[in-house]
Amino acid sequence: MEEGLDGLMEKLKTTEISSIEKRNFSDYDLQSANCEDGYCITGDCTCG
Amino acid sequence: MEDIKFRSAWLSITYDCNNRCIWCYSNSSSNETRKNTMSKEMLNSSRKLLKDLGIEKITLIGGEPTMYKGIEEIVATSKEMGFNVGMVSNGRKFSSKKFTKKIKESSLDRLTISIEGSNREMHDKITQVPGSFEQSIRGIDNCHELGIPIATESTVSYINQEDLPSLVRFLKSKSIGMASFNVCGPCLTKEHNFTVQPKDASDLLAKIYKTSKEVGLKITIVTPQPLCNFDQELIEDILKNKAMNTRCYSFYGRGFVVDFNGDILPCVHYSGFPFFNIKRNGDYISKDEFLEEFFSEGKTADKFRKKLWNYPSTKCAKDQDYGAKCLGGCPLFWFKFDPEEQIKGK
Repeated sequence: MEEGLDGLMEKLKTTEISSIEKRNFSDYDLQSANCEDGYCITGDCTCG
Repeated sequence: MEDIKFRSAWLSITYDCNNRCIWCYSNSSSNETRKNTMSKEMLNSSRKLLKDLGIEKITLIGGEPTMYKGIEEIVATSKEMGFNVGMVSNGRKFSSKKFTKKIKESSLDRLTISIEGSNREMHDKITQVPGSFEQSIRGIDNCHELGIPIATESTVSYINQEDLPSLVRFLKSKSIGMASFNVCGPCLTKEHNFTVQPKDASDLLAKIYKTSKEVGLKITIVTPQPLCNFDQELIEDILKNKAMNTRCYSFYGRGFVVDFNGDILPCVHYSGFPFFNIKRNGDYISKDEFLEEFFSEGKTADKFRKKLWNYPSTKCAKDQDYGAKCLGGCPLFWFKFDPEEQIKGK
């Protein structure tokens, strides 16, 4: 716990692949799954 | 930062809980964490900050939010502030019609009730509270009767894996409008053995999806999955029917969690590992200070998102689907498992 999120991140197993581009997180699809006003689960959507 | 549009925020208002779910990610079963409850001052200050940030939708979570004293007032005052308000609950308090009426009168917009098995034996085995199944089901019935729209949430684990098709049929029989399914993930503060390996999760989720189609139940698979782990034809059908969430706001920075103590978290699973806290030197930070901490290059939040946007596996080939449709799975699982072993690839 003392290490905080910065320390925790070091344990996250992800791979930097220099030969291919990183994903672009400014260019994303707005579609969420089965999201309807009143039944929103993730809140990460455009309904409601 | 002028064009920043947050979609949603979650408020972890208490870690107290009347269930003791064996795999609880927030460790709400422990006596120590159950005491962690948001103060009224923190609640009011955080809601004001969320308004300043332009957030329209909030979801109350925990722990068990109905354990918070005066929860109906929190919902009602949040509504008065103009929020769309949701709650994730185990539903047990809704077994009281009096309580359900109070929540109905508070104008709650969304309620998600957790159901972990199709029957008393399975559900109560997971919640570790005898009688919890009956109470949650009575809660669903009361909500139906009083016209509170309900979704359900169920956690897919190795414990209930055989029960999953029965659970789907049971939820259909209870007239659930939307059933969501999470995959049991690792707890960052306590090791447990219930985490489902991503390479197994695809088979379990396939069973759920096929049964849901048979019985006509609308479902959402909430936990992002490596799409290549599924049969190609099946995953195309799942996506076409919007039955899988392929998004996670921790990647995009379009949402966050306010923990009980004012910590800002990437998602509810990261309690104890905050980006930052909204209280600084005795005062609450402003909208501009929040945005600075949340988006500026080199800050923890920025470094975290950049780390997520690495590829989890060398098998994740760059193609037109990647990024827009596949996140490579929920990153939480890559704290415990090696994605090279878990992601099948095309």
